[in-house]
Amino acid sequence: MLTDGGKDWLARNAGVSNCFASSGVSYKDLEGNWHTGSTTDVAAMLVVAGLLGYPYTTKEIVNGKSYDDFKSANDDYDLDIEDVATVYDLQEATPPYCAAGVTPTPTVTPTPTPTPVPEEKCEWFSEHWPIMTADIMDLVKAYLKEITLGWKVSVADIMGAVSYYLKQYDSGNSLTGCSCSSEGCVVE
Amino acid sequence: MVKLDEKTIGKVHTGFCSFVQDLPSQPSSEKLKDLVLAFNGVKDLGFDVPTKDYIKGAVEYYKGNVRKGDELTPCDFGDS
Repeated sequence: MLTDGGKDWLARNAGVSNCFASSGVSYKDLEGNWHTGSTTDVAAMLVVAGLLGYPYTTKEIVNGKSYDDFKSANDDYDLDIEDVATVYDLQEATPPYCAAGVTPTPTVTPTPTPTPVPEEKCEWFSEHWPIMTADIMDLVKAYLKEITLGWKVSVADIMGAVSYYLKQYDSGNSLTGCSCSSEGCVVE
Repeated sequence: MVKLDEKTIGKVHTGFCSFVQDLPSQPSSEKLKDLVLAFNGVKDLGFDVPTKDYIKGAVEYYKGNVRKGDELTPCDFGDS
């Protein structure tokens, strides 16, 4: 008998990304040799361990776990020979079976859209290179809207200017978005 | 128990019995696993595994219990 707990155990320990998989699952046979196969292969090996009984039920098969570990998760029911067909059907389903709480479809990570760096900003840094304390003060004043530099100053720009002042160019560039080095700033 | 000869049993004998004949001397759980897959129609070994007794018999061969394995399968390794 294969319970939901047993299915989830297989998905988590004998699957890929917590889902049943038709390949890419590493498991051990009962002689200790490694193989790569499917969730169904692992289920079949578990059945064999169950049929052979102790001490085979204690041997590692997948993910450091044994048949006894599986049986505990399967509400203490043995895995029957016929259950392997159920595992195969769940593995080949679209989408395949996944452990509870796992979304089977791959999640698409959106590519962040880079914020365009105002050309005027990098020109300003270039014209004021190397950055002095007076330049930093001007940036602060522009941020407080006491003066205008022709572009919108952010806190990151001020912090970047401080980094440039400290000759930490990489840090400054990541804050301002400009490309500056000890030689000055590249303006396109 | 009288065993049918190879011609009578045909595919089952030549296929299944050849497949499991080494199990008593060279235990292979991969072979047992493949029999489970074949019984469930997941893998084609080129012969049928018609009942669970064939698998249980192979398990007995694996454990070295040839006579018990012979009782569960059409094979006859005990007298060989």
